[in-house]
Amino acid sequence: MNIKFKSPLHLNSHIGELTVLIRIFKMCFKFKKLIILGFIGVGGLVGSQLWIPYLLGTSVDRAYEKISSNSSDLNILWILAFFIIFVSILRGIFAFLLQYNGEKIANGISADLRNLFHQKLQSQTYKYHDRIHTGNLMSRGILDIEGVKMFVTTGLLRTFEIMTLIIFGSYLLLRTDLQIGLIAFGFIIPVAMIATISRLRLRKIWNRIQKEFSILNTNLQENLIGVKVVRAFGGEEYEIKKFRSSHKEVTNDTMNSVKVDSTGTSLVGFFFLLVWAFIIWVGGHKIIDGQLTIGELTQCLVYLGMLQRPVRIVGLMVNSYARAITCGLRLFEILDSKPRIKTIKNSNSIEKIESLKFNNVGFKYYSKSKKNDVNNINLDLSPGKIIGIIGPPGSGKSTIANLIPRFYDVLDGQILINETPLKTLNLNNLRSRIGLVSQYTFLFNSTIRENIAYSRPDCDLKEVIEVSKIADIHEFIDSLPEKYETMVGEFGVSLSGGQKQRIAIARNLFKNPDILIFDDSFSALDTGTDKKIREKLVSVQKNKSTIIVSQRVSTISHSDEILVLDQGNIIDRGKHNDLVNKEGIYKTIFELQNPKMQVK
Amino acid sequence: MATSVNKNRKVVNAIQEDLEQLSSYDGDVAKRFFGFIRPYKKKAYLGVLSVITFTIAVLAIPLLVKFTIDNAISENNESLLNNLFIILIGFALMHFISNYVQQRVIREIGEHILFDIRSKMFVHLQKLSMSVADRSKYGSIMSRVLGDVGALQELFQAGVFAIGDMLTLIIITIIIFSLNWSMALGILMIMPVFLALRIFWLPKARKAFLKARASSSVVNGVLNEHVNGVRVTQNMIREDINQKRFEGEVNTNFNDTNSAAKYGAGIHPPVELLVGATMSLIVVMGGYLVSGGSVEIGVMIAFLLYVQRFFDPIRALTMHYSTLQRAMASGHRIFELLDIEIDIKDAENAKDINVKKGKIEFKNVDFEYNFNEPVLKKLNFIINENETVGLVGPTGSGKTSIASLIHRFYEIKRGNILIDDEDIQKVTQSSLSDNISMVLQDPIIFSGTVEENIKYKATATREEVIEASKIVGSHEFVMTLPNGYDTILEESGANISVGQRQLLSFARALLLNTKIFILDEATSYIDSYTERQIQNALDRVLENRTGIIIAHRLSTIKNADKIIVLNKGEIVEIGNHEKLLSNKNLYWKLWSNNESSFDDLN
Repeated sequence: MNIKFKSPLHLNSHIGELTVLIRIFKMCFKFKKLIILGFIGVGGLVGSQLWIPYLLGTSVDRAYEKISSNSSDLNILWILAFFIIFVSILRGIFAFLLQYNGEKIANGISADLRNLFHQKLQSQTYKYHDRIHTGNLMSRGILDIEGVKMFVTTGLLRTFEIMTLIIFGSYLLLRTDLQIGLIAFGFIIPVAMIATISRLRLRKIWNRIQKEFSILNTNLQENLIGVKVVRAFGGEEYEIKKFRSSHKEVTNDTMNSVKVDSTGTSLVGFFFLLVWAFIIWVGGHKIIDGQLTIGELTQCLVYLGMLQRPVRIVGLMVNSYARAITCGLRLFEILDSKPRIKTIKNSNSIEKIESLKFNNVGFKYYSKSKKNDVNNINLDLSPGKIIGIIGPPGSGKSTIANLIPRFYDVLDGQILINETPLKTLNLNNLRSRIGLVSQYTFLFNSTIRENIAYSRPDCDLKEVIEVSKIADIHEFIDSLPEKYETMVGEFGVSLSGGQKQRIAIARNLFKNPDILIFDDSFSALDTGTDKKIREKLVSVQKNKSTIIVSQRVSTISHSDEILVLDQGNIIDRGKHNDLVNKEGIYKTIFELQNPKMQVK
Repeated sequence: MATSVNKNRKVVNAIQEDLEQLSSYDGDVAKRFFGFIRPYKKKAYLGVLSVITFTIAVLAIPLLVKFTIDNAISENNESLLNNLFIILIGFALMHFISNYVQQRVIREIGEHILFDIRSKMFVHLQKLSMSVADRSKYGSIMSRVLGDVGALQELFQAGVFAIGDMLTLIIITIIIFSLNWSMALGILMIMPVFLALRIFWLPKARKAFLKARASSSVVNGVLNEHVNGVRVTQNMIREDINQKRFEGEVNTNFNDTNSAAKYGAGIHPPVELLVGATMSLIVVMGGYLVSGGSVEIGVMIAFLLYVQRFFDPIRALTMHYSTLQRAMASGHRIFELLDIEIDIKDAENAKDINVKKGKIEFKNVDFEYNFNEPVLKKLNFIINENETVGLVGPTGSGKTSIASLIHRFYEIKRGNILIDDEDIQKVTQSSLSDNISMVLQDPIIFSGTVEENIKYKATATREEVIEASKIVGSHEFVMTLPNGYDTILEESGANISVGQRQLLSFARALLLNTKIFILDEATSYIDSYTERQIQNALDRVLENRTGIIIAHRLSTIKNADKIIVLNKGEIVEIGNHEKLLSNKNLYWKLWSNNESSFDDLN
């Protein structure tokens, strides 16, 4: 199996890498108070931490002096002990301040990013959502925001903590004993390098594992969803082989990561002990020569132990910067995108749609396509009239429907409502006057009531029931134990395709629009129900316009005008009785669907 | 809105329960889990050995420091100092090697176990019958195979490292007591306080953390829903309301994560206090003892070095405990899946069948999915060699069950199904599927190229693939795809239409080149155009084959040699189109009402 991963969006880095980090930092400045508290934490933590080796070293020396000289006062030990506890408490408090405020900032950034992200996606056009898959957007909304959050947690305050700790720690080490301090650098430098290199190598492997794992995930999912095919084709052995081989890839790369990681961590440990040994050896000789006290040696050893953690973390730090850059780039690409369809300045609003006109309308989904997906569309719709649209799949039926509420903007020609160009109307005002029942029914994880009253949640149940009756779904809903409060969607009752479609119809009726468009939205209903709903609609739509897109002749045969589409062009138009007596697509479809009624 | 708040609470609770579903230690789960370690026994011993070596190397070093200070430095013995330096380097090497081995070996075994358990689960899933598959939700199976196995693997690693932690505690206790018992006793008094602190804090922190994670899942769930439903939202102009709702969830999560952060960071002050207290204790006690001459200075230093190492294993062990709890729950779920009995197995002396004629016979077949809800009742019919048979009937009439039964997806309750006069219960399932092709109602597309999808498991050349594709009429549209047969189809074939997917699965079935060909409601989701295309292809495909076409649209089966009309699990009538019309029964009624489908009969 070689499944290539398409790059989600062409990462044409519209901003530089440094800009990403600067923008993230800028977002943090909103939390001034937290940053100040966090920095107090950093300073306090480093300051108190660095006292401890000195206090311990001094205690050792005081205790030792007592043996050799018998002169020193042991009370000093109590004072030292008191200081150790005092400094430890400070250290705990400052560590709390640092971590708590650091995480709070990160949580704040994460919340801000989530809100911005959500807002952007809600306002982005259909075209945008067609182009980028939900899975892709979700992984950005989850993983990339997480990546930036991690960076703020570890990168912002921790960087300063680590850097100051390393700088001051090394300085104090050097001041205690220059030679020993220099030896310690034999630890700090290689370890920081090893940790960084192995982290960056691991990052690469982990990215690979993540991709391989998602393939494994897909394999498993497809095997479960396609269980019937697997059984029908006797594909069990084949599936097992496929699963194993894609799992092997994950396992092999995980093994690689284990190798790199084990080498890195054990090398770091080794260098630490090596330097430790050297310090004891050199320090030991110095003590014998009287150039150093045992307390000072202890102090050096504790300093070194204290430096171990920050030096190791340097690798993590570099990793989190690298991750933040990739995550940030992807994220800002979405946040900076601009919805192409929006209300213009000085827009008009309308009370009621009196007329809808298409003047030579042309449109294509991909600007790179040579041909338009629909071409030269002309139509005229006035209140009380029904237009039916029929044609083979891909002939452009839905496209026409989607142009009316400006889900896509026309490329050629013009659409006029009340003789005003569509683009000059206020977008929300326009959409509120149009109800488009889409071909793909989507229900939210919520109650039936909320799904129907989606456009106006604070409404009377009566209104919901009224439209449900027209959509022929009231009886069904009423038969459910919780009636209109029944949960649907992922966590609720499962509905058949036909039931979902009827809820979607009710949802659009609830909007009470001037134009009602059915985009192949009777397809999952049997012809009987289809007919029933259409009959009930007659009275509702008396003074309103209707467009019905369908593949079924019976659904549109009563229209005032039927448009027959093929390859984006209207190839025929007229009433049912005229069309059915002419040779052509319409007649062919009709005969296919009505085997008995061969027109002679 | 109250309902929506309730709804979200429900979701949060469900997620929380799922996360917190912990169960206690279960010997059975542990025993079965050990079975998976067995193949790597030797490696596991090496792992444990290296953990022990590593622990010794770590703990020997403060002791060596003490020895160096007391015996070499204080005694001004330079040559001993040099020798001890060499020994220290030796220990550093031992530390290095054992650390490398322990990490690598243990994690590698973990990966092997992971692979083994997952493979075993996967293989098991392939053997289970359709009746199990129908009942299970694939989401829950996915989370068992992927998530739960991960938790069990974690248990193994945590378990081995726990050995090191326990060992560390024991050895340190022994060492410090042998160095100086009174100071050791002092330290040991502080440890229970630390342990109590951890035990008190951990569940609370965990709860806060889980709560934050649950509300984060809710945020992501709402985001997912709003992105998926963005078209409806824009149609309904609900962007603002949705934004407000989303921000509400984000805010809840913000507060939850902040309180989790408080717990996470809140442990620092008391822990630091305890560490400080322990060090002070050593300073004061050690100081007095050292200056009194009863204890050497090196001992005091060794104590200072050991203290830090004493806290870590306690911290780790309390963490391992929650890993254990989680793993037990996961183990239960894993073994629950592995314990589902394989209900359709090959008979003991099952032989391979090679279908030559393609004659199918149902003899007194009774069948039910659920106990006492008969789906087929005493069904009898024969489909002869090379016949094309249409099965029609309203929803629930049992027509699809017949197709599944020919393939032995389910076991019948009574009666026999014979293919070429052989009982299908007496032949191997794999040979059965080699002789039957099916086109199913839902066209399934696997991620991969068009060619891979047509081939599926068959070994066919590109030419053969194209030929099959031409016969069913998919060649034309495949050639319009950017890379023809090498075009990669997205997950579940999102980049082609349903009709096109169905044509591909038709080609896939054709490529198997079997004597029996079944179309199981294969045309119900597709438009009239594609249906006509399939109709035309069928005439060619069914030449010299036995064909079964299950449909609810009459136009699909009108030309069949024989039409079997079913209702409520029983045969109403059998005959060809003309004969059934003259019968003036169910078929005729439908036809004369000019209804195109049985579902329209109310």
